[in-house]
Amino acid sequence: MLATLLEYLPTLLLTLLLEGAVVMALARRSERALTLEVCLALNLLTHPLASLLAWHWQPDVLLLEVPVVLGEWIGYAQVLRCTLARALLLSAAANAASWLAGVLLWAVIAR
Amino acid sequence: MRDLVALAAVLLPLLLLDTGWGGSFGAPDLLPPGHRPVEHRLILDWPAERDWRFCASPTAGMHGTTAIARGEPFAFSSKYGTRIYALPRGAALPAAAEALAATAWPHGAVPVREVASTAVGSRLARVVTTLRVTAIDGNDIHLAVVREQRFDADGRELGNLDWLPLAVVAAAGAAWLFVLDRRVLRSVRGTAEAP
Repeated sequence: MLATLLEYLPTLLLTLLLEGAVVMALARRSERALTLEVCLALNLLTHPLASLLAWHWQPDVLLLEVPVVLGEWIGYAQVLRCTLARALLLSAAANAASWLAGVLLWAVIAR
Repeated sequence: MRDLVALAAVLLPLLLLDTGWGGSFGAPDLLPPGHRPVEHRLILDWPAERDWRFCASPTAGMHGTTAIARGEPFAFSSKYGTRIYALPRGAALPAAAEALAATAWPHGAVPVREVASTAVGSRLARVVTTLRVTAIDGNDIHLAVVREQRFDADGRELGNLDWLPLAVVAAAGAAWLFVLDRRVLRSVRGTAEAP
């Protein structure tokens, strides 16, 4: 089980770093710390669940991003008490960035 | 309104990018982003008292035929539609798949889908599925899945509890979210009740 965790943690940390940076850039100054906390907590929830789905059923990564974006959209709206449009922006932008980074990283590794 | 415009600015290029790359990502011989290859092998077993011989051969592609030894792993492909054939006693194994497909020998499709890749971050490196021939009935071979074993790159079998560390991380995330939600709720109430 420890080996599983060690193999998995780098991908989680990379996602937390990327999505945290995007959300910090988009957050209002007054609620930057809270938005970052919500981003980290949401990713701790969605990333392992999405990873488990990816490991066992090998779905298309973009397809997997859909429930993740929806879940995080609801999460941001609920905890930050912001508009649905703002929550969707945070969720979509952060996940788009991490998806794109994943694609680029994969392209570099696969070369 | 400003948020919606920003959202469109994020999503539109992504959709265009995906549409443009869709052909190459969907191509069967390419690994999807974030995935790495996995080796999937089959092991075939059959009743010891039966003097059968088996071989595997694809229904498409340029691959030849493979004689199957009892208990020995062999490669297969879902993409190329590998079939398992029972050879009549004394029959020679044809080298070409086309010659095998033209025979009336009993055959059966592999009853499992090939695991060709897994997401990066998974320890899975090799899958071994054990099949058993339960009957040969006319032109059909009946195959049953006995077990599926999953191994990491060092050959260690992956256990049934490999999902547990990830479930613990997810539970920690859910708990943290709950605490944050309570904290924001208290703060909102405090602001509303302030004189």
